[in-house]
Amino acid sequence: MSVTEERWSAAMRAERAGDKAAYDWLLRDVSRVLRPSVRSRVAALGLASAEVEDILQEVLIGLHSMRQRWDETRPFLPWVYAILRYKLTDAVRRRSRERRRQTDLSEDEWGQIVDQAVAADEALSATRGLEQAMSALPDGQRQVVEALAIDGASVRDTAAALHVTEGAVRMTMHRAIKRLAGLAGGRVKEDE
Amino acid sequence: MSDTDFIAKLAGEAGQGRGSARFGRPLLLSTLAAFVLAIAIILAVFAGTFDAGSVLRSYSFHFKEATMLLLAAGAFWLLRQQGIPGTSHKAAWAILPGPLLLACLAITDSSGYPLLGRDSVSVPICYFAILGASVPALAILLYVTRKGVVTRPWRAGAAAGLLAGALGAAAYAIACKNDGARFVILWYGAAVGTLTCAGAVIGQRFLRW
Repeated sequence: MSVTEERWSAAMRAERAGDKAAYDWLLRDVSRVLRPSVRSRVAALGLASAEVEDILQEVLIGLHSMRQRWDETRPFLPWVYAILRYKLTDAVRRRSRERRRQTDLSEDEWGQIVDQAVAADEALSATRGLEQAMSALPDGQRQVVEALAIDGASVRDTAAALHVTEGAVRMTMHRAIKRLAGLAGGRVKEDE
Repeated sequence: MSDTDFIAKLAGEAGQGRGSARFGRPLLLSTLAAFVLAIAIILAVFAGTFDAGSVLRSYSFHFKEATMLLLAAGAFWLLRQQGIPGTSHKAAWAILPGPLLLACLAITDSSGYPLLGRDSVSVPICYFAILGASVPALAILLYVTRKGVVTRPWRAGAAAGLLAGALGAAAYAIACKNDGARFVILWYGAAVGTLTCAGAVIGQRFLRW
């Protein structure tokens, strides 16, 4: 039996007895051991190095949520490594997918989105006004539209102000514009 | 939240974990329950269409039952391993004896039973009866598998589908009137394969955590 196996499984047993210090040490040690592996995966996928800590936290949450299902009669290392591998792969894959989704839009496509926004705005002005249409948006979408389209804030500043990612801001803006365009279209038809 | 604060927060919950390390026992009990349910469905649907006494004494029933239960035993072992991280991946070999035995019987089958069954509805009846008996079993098995620690969701889902399909096929063998080994390997195989694929697809989403 390896030293790590002995120490980690002892810490897991102590955790079950409510030993916070032992569990704290275990999580730190797992985090320390895993960090290089996460870093190399993140670098290989071209993700930002700032993602390393977020992914590590997700992995630790996975371990934490399943800790009670470890059978004390079985070795801990293979158990924990299988979980860590799964959560690590899952977290990296998800981020990689999110990144692809964010960068899939070309400049022309962004231009089209802006054009749609202008078109939606004009259509709304011609009917019942922007404020009325804005009131039909959910709170999150309205805040993003107000910040980007009315206040002229940058995506980064808006993301920071709303405590969300830049990708989420772009996605919310896109949805809001689609919704506004839909509302405007409906009103134009009504007027006709 | 910084790494230090985050770990301290998790460590603060020491001793408050929920769940149980026992996975094999609930899985075994639910497998038995799923089999009983599959038999009940087959008996309810095919009641009065077969003579249970003569079926239970027939060679064809025994070979169908033996091969499907052998497959179910292998699938059970595979599913159990999928719910316990760090266990051997060699468990996949456990599913081979049933199909291999059936393949041997199909190769040496000289009974002359038609490949498409005794009549024109033999194939759809066989296929859909096995699916019908297996779907509730699959639901039960997937639910119980969530109590394990699945680190390969699609594989665990496929194992659950294979087990459910084998149980449904073993249950349907009671009412099946098509006794050719080639019929069994082809059409039972198609139904069990469908369940395995369905389990893999569902497991990929349902067993993620």
